[in-house]
Amino acid sequence: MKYCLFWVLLLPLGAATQELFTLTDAASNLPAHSLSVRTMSMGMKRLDGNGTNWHHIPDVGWGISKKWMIRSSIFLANRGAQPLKMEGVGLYTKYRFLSVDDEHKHFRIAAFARLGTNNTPIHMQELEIMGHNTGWETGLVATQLVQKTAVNAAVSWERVTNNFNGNKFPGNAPRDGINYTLAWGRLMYPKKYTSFKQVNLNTMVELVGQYLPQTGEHFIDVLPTLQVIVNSQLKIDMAYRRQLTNSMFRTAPNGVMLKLEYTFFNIR
Amino acid sequence: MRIFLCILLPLLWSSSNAFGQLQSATLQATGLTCSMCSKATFKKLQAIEGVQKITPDLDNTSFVLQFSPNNTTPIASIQKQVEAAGFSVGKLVLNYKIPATTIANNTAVAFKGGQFIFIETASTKKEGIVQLQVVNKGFITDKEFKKLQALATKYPGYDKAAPNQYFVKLL
Repeated sequence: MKYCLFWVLLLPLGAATQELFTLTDAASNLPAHSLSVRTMSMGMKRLDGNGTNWHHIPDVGWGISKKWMIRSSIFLANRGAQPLKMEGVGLYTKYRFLSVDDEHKHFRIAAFARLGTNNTPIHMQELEIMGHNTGWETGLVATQLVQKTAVNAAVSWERVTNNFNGNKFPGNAPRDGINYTLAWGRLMYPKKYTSFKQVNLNTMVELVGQYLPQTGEHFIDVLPTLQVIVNSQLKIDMAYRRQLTNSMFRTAPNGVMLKLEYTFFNIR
Repeated sequence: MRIFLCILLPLLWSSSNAFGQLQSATLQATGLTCSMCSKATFKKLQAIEGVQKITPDLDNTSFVLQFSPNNTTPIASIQKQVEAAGFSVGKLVLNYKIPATTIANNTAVAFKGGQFIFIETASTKKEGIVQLQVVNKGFITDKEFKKLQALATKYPGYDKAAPNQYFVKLL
């Protein structure tokens, strides 16, 4: 938690920022009755030198109402040189329960929950239900937008269990983790919005951390991202994830990410 | 009492077209800056019954809505659609075309589908296009509403407007 406070103090308020981050889902929701189609691909370099783990997470999201959304995902991965296969599914829901809007600013808090399944052997101490473990996660996310500056912070509790296909979670390893993220970004272009057709360029930085309360182990990663928004409807994130500090056993913490998201408005 | 008003008032209002015809509206949306957010709002506004054309000002997150002739667009649908996009109405100015009408402060007039109550407005006679700013909760920022809440002593019901009852300022 001391790292969390440290980064909050360092956040450079005043930069022009968007709140559409690569890993962190902000407190804002999908518009009601809109469909988001998304895919995230990650190439994570294995520390054992056996190539790169490629993960692909296609998903669809639906704005149930102005306050409530759901998202379902499929986890595909190749684990080094093996063929790509489906390893599990995910379900995510978020409810925005506080929203204070003003001209060019807002403050929002949402509660979220996620379920994830996986059928592969457990190979690392890091808890990750987005493509590695079976388990659940629940937490809170808050977003403050002021002019073109947004700061996003999330904290969640994650609990994992045995993976499918008889792949048991090691009995003596911690099953609970506290996840936290802090995110910051800057609108690079345009300086002035004049048309929906303008290409938008954003740069963002996310800090993603996990703390295992049972053993006190932790990691913090940093994700610089370049984001391109086309026609105000297609979002392309290009990110690099890099471990900053770590005391747990991880197998492939560093790598590149590409995320594409397209939103269909007013489905009904 | 509230149930009684909910049933009776729309019946009275629907039978009357005393005030004139909605021509256009200028909407300031709040809680957003990015162009994707403006596009979500724009798409939601397009789905409002009677909207013919929308001109967005992306830098100011405002939209000018042109309505079809003889439209019966519910004013509440403007707020509903902005909120469905995930944002709020910060300011809404309605442009009505009216016949020669005497507007008096703290008096109610019926329009298609509702009732306007004029507040903080000097009594005057108007004809042609008039601009009315809706000052109900949900049509101005929360900060502004808190400031105006004290007006409830002068204009009874301002802080708890009935459905389709709009407190407006003549601009």
